Amino acid sequence: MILISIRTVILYITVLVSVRLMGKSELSKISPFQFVIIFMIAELATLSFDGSTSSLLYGVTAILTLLFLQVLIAFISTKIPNFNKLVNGSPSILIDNGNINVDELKKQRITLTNLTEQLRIKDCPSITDVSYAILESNGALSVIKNDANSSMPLIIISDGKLNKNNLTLAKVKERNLKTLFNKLSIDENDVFLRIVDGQKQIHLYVYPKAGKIYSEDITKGGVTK
Amino acid sequence: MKQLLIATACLAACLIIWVVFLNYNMNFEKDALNTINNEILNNIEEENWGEAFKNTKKLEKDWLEFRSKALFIINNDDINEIDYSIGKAIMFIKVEDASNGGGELDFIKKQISLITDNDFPIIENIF
Repeated sequence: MILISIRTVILYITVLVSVRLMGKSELSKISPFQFVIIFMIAELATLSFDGSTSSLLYGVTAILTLLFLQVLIAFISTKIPNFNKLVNGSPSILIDNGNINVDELKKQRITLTNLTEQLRIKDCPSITDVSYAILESNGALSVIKNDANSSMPLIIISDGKLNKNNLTLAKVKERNLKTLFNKLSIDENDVFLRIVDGQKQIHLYVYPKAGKIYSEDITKGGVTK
Repeated sequence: MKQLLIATACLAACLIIWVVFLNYNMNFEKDALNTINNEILNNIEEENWGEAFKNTKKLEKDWLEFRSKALFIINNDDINEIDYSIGKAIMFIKVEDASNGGGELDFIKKQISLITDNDFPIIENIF
């Protein structure tokens, strides 16, 4: 009896440490991959409660191996965007500038009924109210409502990596970016995040604290620091 | 980066424990098989029951010492199997039963070898 309690305490601490080390995103916005990892950890922990079939160290080693893999994959994902896309998938645009993306709906196996239901949950009773609907990689649906000035914010530079697709979509030329960096006296390697928001404003977040914001209205060409 | 280092350190600690145990296990296996093959089984063949009993008791003592450490690493079922077999072998030798004693010692040899073999990172064990 007491052995089960001691084993439970050890496994509880192992699982607790593992989940904490995996980071906050595991609990708040869980992706299908992370969901499977959490389930596997729970299953491995319960298998080790009963000492007759497997040793406690076997269970702890299996949990720590999963932890290592998860943390390693998360680390590589932050460094290599394509790897991140491979592991976590990428968002799907279901409604693009008011137009329903039928191919994407089919690809994601989402019926129009499902989509309208989700839109109603998001406070959009009619599809005509929606400018953009994006199925995020964690399965959540993000909705940008119809607004005369609204367009989808585009991330041009994320984690210091340039997204050329979004650069084309935002109709910004790469050489113009370099001109802007020169104008602001910023080294392009110091840019952590660059967004073109719904009001066509460019925002820059610069290393090391990524807290300093530069804005430029691309419609007017002005720069504010 | 900090999390990755901690996770790597935890996994490395487990691997180090496993390597140390595997080495300890291989030494025990070598000694135990040597005792059974070259001493106890020879004693039984020569019907030297007193010496066979003494050597089996020595094997039991070595096993108990190994068992106290292996308890943390290997499955309880495997440990219990060897415990029962050593107990039976001692009794068979005590009553001078050569066939059952020899059979039980052979079973112990196989069980002890399996502890190392089952933990070795080879294709057969993975699948």
